[in-house]
Amino acid sequence: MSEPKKVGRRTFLNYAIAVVATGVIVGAATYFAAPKGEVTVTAPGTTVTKTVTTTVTGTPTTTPPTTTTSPTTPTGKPKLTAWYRMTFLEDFNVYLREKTLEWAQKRGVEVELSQLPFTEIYSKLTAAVDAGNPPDISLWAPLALAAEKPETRLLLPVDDVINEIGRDDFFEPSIKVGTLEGKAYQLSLWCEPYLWHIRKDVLEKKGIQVKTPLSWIDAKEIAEKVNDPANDFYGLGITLGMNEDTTNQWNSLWWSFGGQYYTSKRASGVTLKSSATRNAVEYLVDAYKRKLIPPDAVEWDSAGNNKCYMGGRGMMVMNPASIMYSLHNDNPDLFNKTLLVYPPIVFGGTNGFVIYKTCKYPDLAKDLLVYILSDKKSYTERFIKPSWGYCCPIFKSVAEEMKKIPYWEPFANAAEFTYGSYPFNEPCMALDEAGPKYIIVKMLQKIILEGQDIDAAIDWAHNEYVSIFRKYYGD
Amino acid sequence: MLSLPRKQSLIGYVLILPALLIMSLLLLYPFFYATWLSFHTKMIGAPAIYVGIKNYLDVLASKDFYIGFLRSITYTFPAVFLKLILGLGLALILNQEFKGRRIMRSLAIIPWVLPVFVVAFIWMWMYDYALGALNIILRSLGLPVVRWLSIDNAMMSLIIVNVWKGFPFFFMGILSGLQSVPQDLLDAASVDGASTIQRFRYVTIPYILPVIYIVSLLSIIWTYGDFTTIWILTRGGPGDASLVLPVLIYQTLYAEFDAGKASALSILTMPFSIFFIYLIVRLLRR
Repeated sequence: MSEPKKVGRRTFLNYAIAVVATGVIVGAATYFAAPKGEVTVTAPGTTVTKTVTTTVTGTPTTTPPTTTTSPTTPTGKPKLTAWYRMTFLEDFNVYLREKTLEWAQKRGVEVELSQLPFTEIYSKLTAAVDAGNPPDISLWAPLALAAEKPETRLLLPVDDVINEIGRDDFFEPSIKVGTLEGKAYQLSLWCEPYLWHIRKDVLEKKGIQVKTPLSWIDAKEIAEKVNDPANDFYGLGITLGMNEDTTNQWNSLWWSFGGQYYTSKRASGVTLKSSATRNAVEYLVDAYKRKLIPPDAVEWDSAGNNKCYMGGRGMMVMNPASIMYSLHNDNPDLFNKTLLVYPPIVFGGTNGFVIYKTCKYPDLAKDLLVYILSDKKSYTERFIKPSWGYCCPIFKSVAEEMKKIPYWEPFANAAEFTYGSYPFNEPCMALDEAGPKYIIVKMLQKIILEGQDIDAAIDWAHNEYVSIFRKYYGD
Repeated sequence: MLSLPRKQSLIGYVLILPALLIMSLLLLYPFFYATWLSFHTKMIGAPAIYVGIKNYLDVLASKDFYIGFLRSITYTFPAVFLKLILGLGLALILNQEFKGRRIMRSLAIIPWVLPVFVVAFIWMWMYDYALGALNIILRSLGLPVVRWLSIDNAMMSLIIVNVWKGFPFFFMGILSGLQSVPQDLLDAASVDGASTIQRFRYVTIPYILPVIYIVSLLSIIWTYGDFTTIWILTRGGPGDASLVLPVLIYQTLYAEFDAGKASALSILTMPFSIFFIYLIVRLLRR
């Protein structure tokens, strides 16, 4: 057997230097050979499970950059970094990407655009905010975290953008949702109202009329008339599981009963312990015990109520229009059998753009947002309409236009009074913390699953909210 | 032992320096940063404020920490035990000579190669009360359906997912151990009149025991730190039925935005892992 060949120290170092030198040469060659001034899609992707990063280096054709004194990139063009949240709607993702890149081409700006699924943008932005290294613009932001405390505020006001687009045309809640101390820090793009989705065919069969708006009390009465648990058909497809939809549906119910989280932002301002809370809890516990709500609803994830309705187990559910979008594509029969009605107070998230203080080109960033939102025709045709109600307009003029389409009428009406938190509808760190901690869900599950006394469970939830409010705002 | 000339050993140190630096950066820096954070109140986006051991006291005074620890133990040990039994059984079967053995071995490792979130989503659909495959099968057999993720069954269902995903690791490790058992020894034992069970007990087991130890200890550490499966399937619920420590840490960081408390919680979960890491290191030294 031959001896293994020994490698001397000098030979080893020579090889190492050769490898490093080759790497440097190849790297440099790649860098200089890369085409400049072209659109480069570095990681194209079309589904919401992927992150899409797009870099565009535009050639100036019209308006030059408004900021000329700011530092520039090696290509000599100003550069913006943008992170957009994605949704399951491909039209949505494509529209925003195209509008942004179109703007970049026209203005001769380099835009590094990342489109991220919601779960990813949530953790990525939270980490970036903490590190003080956020992008220039983001679509969605931990708004309260980034803006509520003046001493750590990371966002720029966007009132001038709102004014340029036309303040009067915005629905009031869509501005208020991002407003602190009289300044707007979010430019809303769309809202997602939670509407009743009701089986029209069952209503007709039973001769039941539905009022608009449909109150929770009336909804329960309808549920009682059609409930048939023996055949796995339930009147109320309301989720009670450990997911955000449980709190969202609770909000709609509780607010309509007169409940609200706080009267002022301090521990003593928390108002969870109230007769409205007791009534809302009793409503749900009673509905669950009487099997108006499916027994497995306590185990559902956030898609549980969707599956309940789409699987034919639920007479009515409350949800954004993601259900309708799916039904339109996969189950046109049930789509046509679905009646959409809004409740008296509509819960719904409102999503929008923010600009960070660290942005080197705030004027350009604002110009981009004006560009995306002032083209209301393409906003309506390419963004709102293809969503089948999932993205509802934040503009009065667009909503008026959409009301002419019968399908869109409930959505367009609901868009006007969609609240993230009622009645204040303002950024609130305490509520942002309480939501993901599932305090409301735990309160309900303590009663339903652990048999705890209603008042004791409400006390527990109230105290949890008080301690969170105390942490942020004091006594 | 031969000692290297001084110059040569110096070059050796210089050559391992980059690796040491990278390791320090990747391993030690986050650890020390987390430790530092755990003594501060650090709300995300705000500067850190020194609070001494307050975070530790808060965590130790919180009922959730003990619930989380108990749930983590309840999740970890049965899951590892079942993975060991399944992995060992399958390794023994697929160590035999038969046609199609290679295909079977390849199929057996599929759960292991699937990304954990894919596995979680697959099982989420399998467990669905109305539309899930498991209940459809039960219904078609005329059996009562099961609420797989109910407060009583959630932990068991999560363990099943973890076992399904993780048993191939045991299978692969033990199979490689089995292949190192000398055939001569097994033959000699047979000649001496040892039964199949005796050969397994006195020849095979001693050979594969180190592998069993290592894979079990590694699996204990990984299972103890499992987050994705539980977060996707139950988010720690219903109630607190599956509130394991990683879920609690995640909620503390991303719901409370409190990096200091989350770090204290992480540090307090470490002694358990460190104990098992210590055992692994001792085993590897033998």
